Amino acid sequence: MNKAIGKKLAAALLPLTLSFSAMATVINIPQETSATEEKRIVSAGSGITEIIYALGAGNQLVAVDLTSNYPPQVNKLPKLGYHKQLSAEGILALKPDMLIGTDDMGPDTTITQLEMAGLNVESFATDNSADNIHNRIRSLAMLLNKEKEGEALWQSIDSDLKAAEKLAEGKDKPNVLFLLAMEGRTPSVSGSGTEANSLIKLAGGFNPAEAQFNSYKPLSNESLLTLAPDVIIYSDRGRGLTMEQLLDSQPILKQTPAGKNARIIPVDGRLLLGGLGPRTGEIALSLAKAFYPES
Amino acid sequence: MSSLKVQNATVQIGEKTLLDDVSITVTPGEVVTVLGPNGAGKSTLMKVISGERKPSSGSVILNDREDWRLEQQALMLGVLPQSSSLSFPFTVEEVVILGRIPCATDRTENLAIVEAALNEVDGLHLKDRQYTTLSGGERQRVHMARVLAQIWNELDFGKRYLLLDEPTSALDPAHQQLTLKMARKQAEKGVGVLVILHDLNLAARYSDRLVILKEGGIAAQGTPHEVLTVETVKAVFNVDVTISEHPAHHCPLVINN
Amino acid sequence: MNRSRKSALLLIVLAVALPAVIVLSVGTGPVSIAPLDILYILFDRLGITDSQVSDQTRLIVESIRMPRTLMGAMIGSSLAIAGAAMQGLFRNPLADPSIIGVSSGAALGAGIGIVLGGALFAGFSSSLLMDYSVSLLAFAGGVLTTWIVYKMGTTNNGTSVATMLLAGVAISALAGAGMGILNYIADDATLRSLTFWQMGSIGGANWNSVLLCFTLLGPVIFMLCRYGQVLNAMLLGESEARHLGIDVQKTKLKLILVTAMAVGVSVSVAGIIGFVGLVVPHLIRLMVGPDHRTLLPASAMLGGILLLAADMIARVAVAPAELPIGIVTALMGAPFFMSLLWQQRKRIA
Repeated sequence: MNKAIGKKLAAALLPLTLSFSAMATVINIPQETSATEEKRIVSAGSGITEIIYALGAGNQLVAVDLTSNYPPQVNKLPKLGYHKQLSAEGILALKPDMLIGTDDMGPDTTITQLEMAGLNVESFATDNSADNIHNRIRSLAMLLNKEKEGEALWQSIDSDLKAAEKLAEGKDKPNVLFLLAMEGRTPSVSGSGTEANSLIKLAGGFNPAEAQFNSYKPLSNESLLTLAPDVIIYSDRGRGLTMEQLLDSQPILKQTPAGKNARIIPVDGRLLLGGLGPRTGEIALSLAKAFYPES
Repeated sequence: MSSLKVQNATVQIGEKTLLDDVSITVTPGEVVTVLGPNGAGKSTLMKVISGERKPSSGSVILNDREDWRLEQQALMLGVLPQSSSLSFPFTVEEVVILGRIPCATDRTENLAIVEAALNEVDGLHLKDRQYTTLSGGERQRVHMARVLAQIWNELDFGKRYLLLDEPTSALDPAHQQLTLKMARKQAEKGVGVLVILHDLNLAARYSDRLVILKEGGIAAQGTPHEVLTVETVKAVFNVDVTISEHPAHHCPLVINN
Repeated sequence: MNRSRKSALLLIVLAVALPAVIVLSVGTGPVSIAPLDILYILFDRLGITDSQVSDQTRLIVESIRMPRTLMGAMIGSSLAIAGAAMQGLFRNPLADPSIIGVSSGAALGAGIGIVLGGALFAGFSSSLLMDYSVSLLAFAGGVLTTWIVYKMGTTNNGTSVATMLLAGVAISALAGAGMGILNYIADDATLRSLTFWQMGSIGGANWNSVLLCFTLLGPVIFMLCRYGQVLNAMLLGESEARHLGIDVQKTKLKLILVTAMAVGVSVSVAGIIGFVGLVVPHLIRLMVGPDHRTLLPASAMLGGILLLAADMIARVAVAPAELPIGIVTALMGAPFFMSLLWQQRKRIA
């Protein structure tokens, strides 16, 4: 074999050896000795993660999925990757007692492997009706032995939701569109089956896109005008886009009723992925106030 | 009697007739050369004989049969194409030994045959060279050795034939002579050789018979003395020549006027 | 050392290295497992020992790592040997199943399965069909594109390699547009699945998929290994191969179907894993030359080794999450391949 090939092989194998030496650090997962009844929980859904924190059980979390990033302390935990692309072995290596997620998590093969490995896998529906949020909080509270905290959490959400309902009572529902703003491109509008759509409903608005399509779709300028939103909610995924900047980048929005009356409201987009969580009530109420300013 | 026989072969593509009722016989032990201007149908004839192209009508009969299996035909009929598209870095030895694919001999014997075949084309010194680094002429000789290796062994079921499509096109004069001498030597061993050439004098010197093609049909066929006349050359190639006798080899000598 | 000695040596080295890498792969992952435990688990299965290895360790080894390792080895081998065969068939060292559109066709099939699968198979009560719809459609896509490309490139006078390559480019473009449409109509979650699937993974391996791979890919590898001499002859050119007694049309058809099978099955179980089919045969050719009698089996073994190496990196690099293996192979393969091209360029200049 000539020398050049030997060198090439060595070069090809180098990253390999490096990665093996990196393994040592990878395996080094925090193994805090937990109190007797405390569990080691892995969460694969941002809404679930938020509820677990809101119930005061955040210390039991050992890892979360990529979409979980609220409250801020969650970012110190190891990340499992995207909740639809979980790795069975990666999760087992954390020696968890339980995996909690939504029926969105996957792939199915991983979930099957985990169940076969004897891991307790709890999966919640992603439907975001108020009832469902209630159920989810109650079931999670039961799982975590935090029934009292669960009830209190639901009470506060429920009172916010009721207050929001009250604001809307006897009034015409405004047309509300949710836009996922993306730099330099047509914003995507939320259709049916999205968290944003649920939130608009809970806040007493009507999403005219709901009847037209599922999920998020970029809409043409004309369609935007036709939908005639009275209010626009938008998320820029955390880049701090102001209303003025949004209007400048999408001048057509100025022609909508919402644009003319400057009724354009930013929300934290992280709320709107992976299921609605404990902040739902609070946000629904603040949106309702914006939908019905005269109340 | 064994022979390689083309009978009334016609090849037609649409309106065009590439080969028009051509009949040629090559018997073992003779060298037959096909001459003709560009587009006369020489390569089509070669393809018909090797079985690559089915004639529209007519037939090719190899040792009294039309229906040889491909593997059997490969043992009887070696074909040297004009040029090869081989672009992978084989060594010369590896290329030549490819000629032994149809043969049922073991590796040791094959290696010996490869050496002998390379020796025939004055290419033994190239044996360990990489094929892709060779010059055009060297490559042509390597393929010649490969084809020789392919039909190296005498067979009990039929005579052997060699088809050479312009084997001298990339060669210097010395190797042109060497190649045609090698073809003659094969003929002496009982192989029937059919060569396509452009050089009338090379053809005249080394061939037993000449076949001249023009526009797909046979314009003349016979011994060099019979075929190479001032009139025929003028009619087929459209050049004025003088024909005299080669002082040493007693064959016609074609001199351009 | 001459080439035939080198070839023999290389085959021996690879034959030793492959099982070694398989063992290493079973031992590597976010959960650290002692090599001795792996042996115990094997011996326990065989009833030789009765060890105290924990059930979870046993489970990780038996249900996750072993299927994954065996499937990875099989897929790596198939992709590499299919690449080597394609390169021989097309007489082009840069040919790859992806070049004649097999991969894109398979990808489009799988994409249709992922995005429209629910709707397409809604009428069927069999959930098995649902489970395998993606794999089936990927396989169908691979075979269908191969067939189209082959038909387009074939006339009465045989198959034109150049036409097939061009047809491959066109089909790939068409499949790309199809993928674009799927991307457009997919909802958010499906889109992510689609994206991840396109990046390849062997993480979902289970014994069923291993069985599928062994029954479908095993014969493919075995069969291709026997085409060494034929492919050598094909390198000379199609007429030359015919003159050497090879039925070129039949050979081409067989090779195309078999490689489509190899790629279709691989894509269907593991998504798109690039560069293995391109880099591995190239490496082998650099070491021992282009003789397919060595190239094919050596590519198969080295392909298995490289894919397992890539998968080990994929498993541990970002644990507890996992990298898509297609990214790892591309990251390893592309720069390496570029350096090869660079050197070739210098040699020509």
